[in-house]
Amino acid sequence: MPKKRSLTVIISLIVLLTFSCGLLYGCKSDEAKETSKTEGKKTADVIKLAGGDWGYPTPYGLYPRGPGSRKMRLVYDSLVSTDADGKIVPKLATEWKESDDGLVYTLKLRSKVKWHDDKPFTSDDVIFSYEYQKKYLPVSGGCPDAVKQVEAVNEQTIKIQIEEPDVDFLSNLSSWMMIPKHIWENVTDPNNFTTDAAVGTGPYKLTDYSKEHGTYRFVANPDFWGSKPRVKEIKFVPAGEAVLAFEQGEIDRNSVTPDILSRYENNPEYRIMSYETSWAYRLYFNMAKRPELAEKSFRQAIAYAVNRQELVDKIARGNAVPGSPGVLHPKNEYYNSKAPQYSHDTKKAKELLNSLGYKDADTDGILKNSQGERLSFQLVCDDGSARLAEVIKQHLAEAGIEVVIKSVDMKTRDARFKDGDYELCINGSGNGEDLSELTNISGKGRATSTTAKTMGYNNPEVDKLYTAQQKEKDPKKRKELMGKLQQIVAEEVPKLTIYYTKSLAVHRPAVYDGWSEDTYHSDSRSNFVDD
Amino acid sequence: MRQKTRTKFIEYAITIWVVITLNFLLPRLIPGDPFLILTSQDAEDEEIVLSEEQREFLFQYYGLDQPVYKQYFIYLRELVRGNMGFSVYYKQPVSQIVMHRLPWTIFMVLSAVFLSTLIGTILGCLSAWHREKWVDKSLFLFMIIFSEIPSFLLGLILLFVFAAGLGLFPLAGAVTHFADFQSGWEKIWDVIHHAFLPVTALTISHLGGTYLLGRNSMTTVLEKDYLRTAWAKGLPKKRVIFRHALKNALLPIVTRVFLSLGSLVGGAILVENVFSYPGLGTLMRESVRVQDYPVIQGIFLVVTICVLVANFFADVVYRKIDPRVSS
Repeated sequence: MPKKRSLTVIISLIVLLTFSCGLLYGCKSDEAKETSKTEGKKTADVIKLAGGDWGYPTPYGLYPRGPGSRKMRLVYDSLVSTDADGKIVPKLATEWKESDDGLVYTLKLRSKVKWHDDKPFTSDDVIFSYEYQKKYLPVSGGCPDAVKQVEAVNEQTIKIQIEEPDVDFLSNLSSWMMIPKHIWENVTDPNNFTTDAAVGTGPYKLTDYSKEHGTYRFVANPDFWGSKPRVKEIKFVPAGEAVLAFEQGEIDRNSVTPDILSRYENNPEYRIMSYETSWAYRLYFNMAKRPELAEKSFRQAIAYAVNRQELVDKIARGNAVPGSPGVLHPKNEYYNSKAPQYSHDTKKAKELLNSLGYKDADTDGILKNSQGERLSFQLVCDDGSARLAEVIKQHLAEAGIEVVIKSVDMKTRDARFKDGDYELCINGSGNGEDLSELTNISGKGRATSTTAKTMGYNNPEVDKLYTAQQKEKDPKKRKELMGKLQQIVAEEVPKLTIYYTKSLAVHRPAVYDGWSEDTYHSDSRSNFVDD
Repeated sequence: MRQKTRTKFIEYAITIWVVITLNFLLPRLIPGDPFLILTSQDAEDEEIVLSEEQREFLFQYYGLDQPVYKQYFIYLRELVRGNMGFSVYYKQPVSQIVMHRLPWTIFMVLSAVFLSTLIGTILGCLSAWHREKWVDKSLFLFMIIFSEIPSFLLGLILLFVFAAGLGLFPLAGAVTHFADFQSGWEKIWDVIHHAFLPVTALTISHLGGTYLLGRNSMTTVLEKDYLRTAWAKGLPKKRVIFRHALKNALLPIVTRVFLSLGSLVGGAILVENVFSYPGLGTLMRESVRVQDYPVIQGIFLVVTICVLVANFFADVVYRKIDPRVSS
C-alpha cells in the first residue's frame, strides 16, 4: 500500500514538472506579444544565424553541401552570375562579348578590385584560377569543362575559348570562383590548406572559424567593389534546438515547419516569409526491372491514381505545389502549361489498367495479369519520405495496384537508386531540374545523368530536343523546344513529380528586415549585399 | 607473474587488432560511399551533386579506388606509424580532429563519473543505514525511475526547463563564442556554465546504478562480523560508518567507476547531440551520416583504447586497494 502511494506522488510530480515547463514557456511567448511594433530594419550591425561546421569557406575547404558553398560565396566572387530570373549579371567581369561562331568570349574585368589583403585583382588571377582549378578540382563547380583556353589580352581583359557553342556557357561561369594567385601558387594540397587561406574579393572577410564548435564570423569588407553590405557582421553560432534558440534571440532567423507556424502568425514581432522552391519529391519507375512499367499507359494510370493535391494537403500541410508531369516547376521560365496534367481520377486509372489486360477476377481489390499474378511493386523510400510513401500506397491500392514499402536510410536509398536496384523509388532533390536526367546523353554534369539508362527509359526524340534547346540562342525558340520536350515527358511520364516544397522562414523585423525575397537560404549572400 | 603480464598484454593486443579490423570493415559495409550525394533531406540542406569526374578524382585522391584488402593493409601500416588518416569530409588529419574533440567528451564523462559516484555512494550509504525505512524506500523508488530515463530525454527536459524556460543556462555549445573574457576564471566559469546541464543529465542517468551498488555493498558490509566488533567496542556512529564500513564497501564501486567509463561514453554521445556539445558524440553522428570512413575508424579506435585503458586501471587499482586479490 505505501509503495503505491509513493508511486502516485512521483507520477504527479512528473506531471507537475512537465506542466510547469509548459507554463514557463507560455509566459515567454505572451510577453513577446506585448512588445511594441517596430518598423523593419534594412541594415544591421550584427546578425546571428544557426551555425554548424560546413567546412572552411574556400572553394577547396568547404564540405559538399549547400551551406558550405553559400558561406564560401560570401568571400569569393565569380566573373559573372545569374539573377533570380536567370539573367546574366556582372560580377568581377563587367562586359562580355561573344564571337560570331560562339567559340570565343571576351570579358572585360572590373577595375580597381582588391583582394582582402589589399593586393590588386588582375587577369593574371583569372588565368591562374583556370589553370589551378583544372589541375586540382574544387569541391563543386570550377571552370566549365567546355573551356579550351583562357588567355589575357591585357591586365583588364581576358579571352576564353570553348570547345563548342553552348548557350548556357555564361551562366555556367557563375560557379567558377576566382582565387588569388599570390596565395595559392605554392599550395600543392589545396584540400588541406585552411590557415589564413580565405582571401577573396567578396563582400565579407572571414575573421573567425572553429571546426569543432561550428562557428564562423564574417565582417563586411570596406573595400568591396559592389554596394555597401547591409549587415556589418554575420555570426554563425551553434544552435542545438533551432526553434528554442530563435525564440531566445540567440539566432535572428530560423526556417520553420508548418506545424509551429501558428506561434509566429499574427504577431507583429515576427515576420514569416514563404518561398516556392524547385526542390521536389519524385516517383521513379524502373522499367528495366519491371517490364510492366515500360508500358506508357501503365505509367499514365499511376499518374491518374496518385492524388498529388491530397499529398500536398496531408503530408506537406498545404505548403507545397503539386507536381507537374512535365517535370518543370510552374514558375520556371520554360514551363509549358498545356502539357497533360492527369488530375486525380481513380476510375480512369482502372480503365487504363483493364485495357492493358489486368483484371481483378477474384475481387480482392488487387489486379492480376493474364497468368493470374498479382500486380505488386516494391517502393523504396528513405525515412524522410516514408509518410509520403504510405499515402501513395493507399492511392495505388484504390486503383488495384499493391505496393510494398521498403523504407531505408538516405544513403542506402541513394546507392540503390544509382544502381537501379528498385522497382519504384521516391527521391527528393533540388538543384534546378532541367530534364537532363531523362536523356541518354552522357557526359552531363550530374552523376544521375545515367538515370534514364538505369531506369530503362530511352526516347531519341527527348535526347534530340534536349540537345537542340541547349544550343538554341533565341529565347523564344528555346522556350518552344522546351515546351515540346515537356509535352513528350508529360505524356510518357518516365518519372512523376509529386510536389515542389515551399520553404518557410521566420525573423524579427526589428533586428533586420533585409532578407531576400528570391532565395530562402538564410546564409545566402543576397540577404546581406546587393552586388 | 611475468607470464601473467605477457598473456595480459597479448590479450589486449588481440582485442585492439580485432577492433581495428571491425572498425575498418563496418563503415564500408554501409551502402553508398562518401561521395554519393544524390538527394537531400529537404530544401534547406540542398545537395551539391558531384559529377562523375569529380567523384573519380576524389576516390583516387583518398585512395578509395584501391581494392579493399590493399586499403586495409595501408591503413594498418599507417596506424603503426601513428597516422590515423585524413578525413574525407572534414579535410583535416583524423588525429587532429579527434584531439580537438576528445577533451570535451573526457571532461564531460569524468565530471559525470565523479559526481554520480560521489552522490550515488553517499545516497547508497544513507539508504543502507536506513534500510526498510521511508528514506530508503523513497530513495530506492526515485533512483530506479531516474536511472531508467534515457540520458538524452533527460537532457531534453533539462534543456527545456532550465535553459529555454528559466533561461538559467545556455541552450547549446560549450563556450560563449566571440566573447572577450576578462580573466582566466571568467573563461573557466563560462565552460562550467555551458557544461552544467549536459553533465547533470549524464550524472542523473548514471546515478541509479552507483546508488544501487553502494546500497547493496553497504548492506552486505553492515552485516559482517567485524562491524559487530566495531559496534561492540563502543565506537561512535560516524567512525563506524565512515572508517570501518565505507572503506570495505567501496571496493565494488571503484571497479564500477572504471568499467562504466565505456557505457558513459555511449550516453555522452546522445547527450552531446542534444546540447550540440563539440565532443566526440556529435562528431561521430556527423561522420556516420556523411560516411567519412577515416573519421569513423579514428573515433571508434580512440574510444576502444580509452575503454581498454580504463579496464587496465581497474585491474591495477583493484589489486592495490584489495590486498586479497594480489596475494
